[in-house]
Amino acid sequence: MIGQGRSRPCGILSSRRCILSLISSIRGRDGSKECHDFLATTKQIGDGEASSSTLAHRTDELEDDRMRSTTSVRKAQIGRSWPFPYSYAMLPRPVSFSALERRVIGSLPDIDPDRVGEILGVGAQSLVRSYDAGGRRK
Amino acid sequence: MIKFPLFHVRQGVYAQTMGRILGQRLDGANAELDTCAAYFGPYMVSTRIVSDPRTGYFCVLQDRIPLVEVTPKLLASAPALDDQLGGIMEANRRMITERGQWLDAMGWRLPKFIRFETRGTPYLENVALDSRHQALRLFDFGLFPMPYRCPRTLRSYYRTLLGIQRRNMRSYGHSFAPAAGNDELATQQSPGIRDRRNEGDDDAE
Repeated sequence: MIGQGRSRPCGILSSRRCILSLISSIRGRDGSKECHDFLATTKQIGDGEASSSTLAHRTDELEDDRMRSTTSVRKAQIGRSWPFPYSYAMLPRPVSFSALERRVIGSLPDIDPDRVGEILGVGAQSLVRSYDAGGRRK
Repeated sequence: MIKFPLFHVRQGVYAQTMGRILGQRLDGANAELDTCAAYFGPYMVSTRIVSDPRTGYFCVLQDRIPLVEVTPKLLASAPALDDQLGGIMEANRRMITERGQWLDAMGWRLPKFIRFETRGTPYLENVALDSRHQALRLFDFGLFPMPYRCPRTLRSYYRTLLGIQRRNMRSYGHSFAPAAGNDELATQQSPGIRDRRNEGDDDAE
């Protein structure tokens, strides 16, 4: 395998800088240890102590680590936003009425303004909102 | 869900001009709901009008049901639904003949209307499929008058709308209004309409 030519280890070693920058960009500062391991693996290949399959295996491991790390970072971010685990955009928005709407709704018997919800559509003749007869906004 | 007349709750230019002209008043809304119940009762979504007679403000309360859009393709695959649309259109033709009013089956949705005008893709915005019960439902009981029942200024507008509705319904394989010359047909069959038309003409003139 090493006997395929002396230029191959050199090629791998010369691409170390590229690989290093790639991994660094993926992992950030936390990836230094893995970078170290990865470079050690590539050095082993260069020295004939490891095969290219080892390099591929190592790459897969790093990819798995990266995925796990990303997930854990997301979980941590959600955890940090406690007691608001969801982003503001995911929360139900407050229902707002125009002055005219407030006047009309207020004047209608049997219509509880608190049950009138968001706009569902505006037609040529009418404005449609959700309404929950059960007592809460939909 | 709850519906308000646009001109009651919005101050925009459209709402206070066209919205006001086209929009229903309390008396009209009650009358049209009764008319729709008489002709399209089995297909109507449960509807109630809540009003304040003192101010004339009102709203329409309807059950909110998940609905599916009715397309010619859907009707082709379900003859029972096609029959239901045929029933609705038959009732509409009867209503035109007897009362000089027609159902706004298309409704207003600008993107769909543009698609209809440019590509000829028909749509029904006010008739939809209640998939749970496999039945067509009407949830907008706003009726439009036949052109001869309008003031002269709005006659061409309603004539154009009626023509569009006819073209649209033809794509679904049904006839929207009685055959050509229906204005005359209607007045022959219903003297009351002829009288009202003449009164309308007098008013307009």
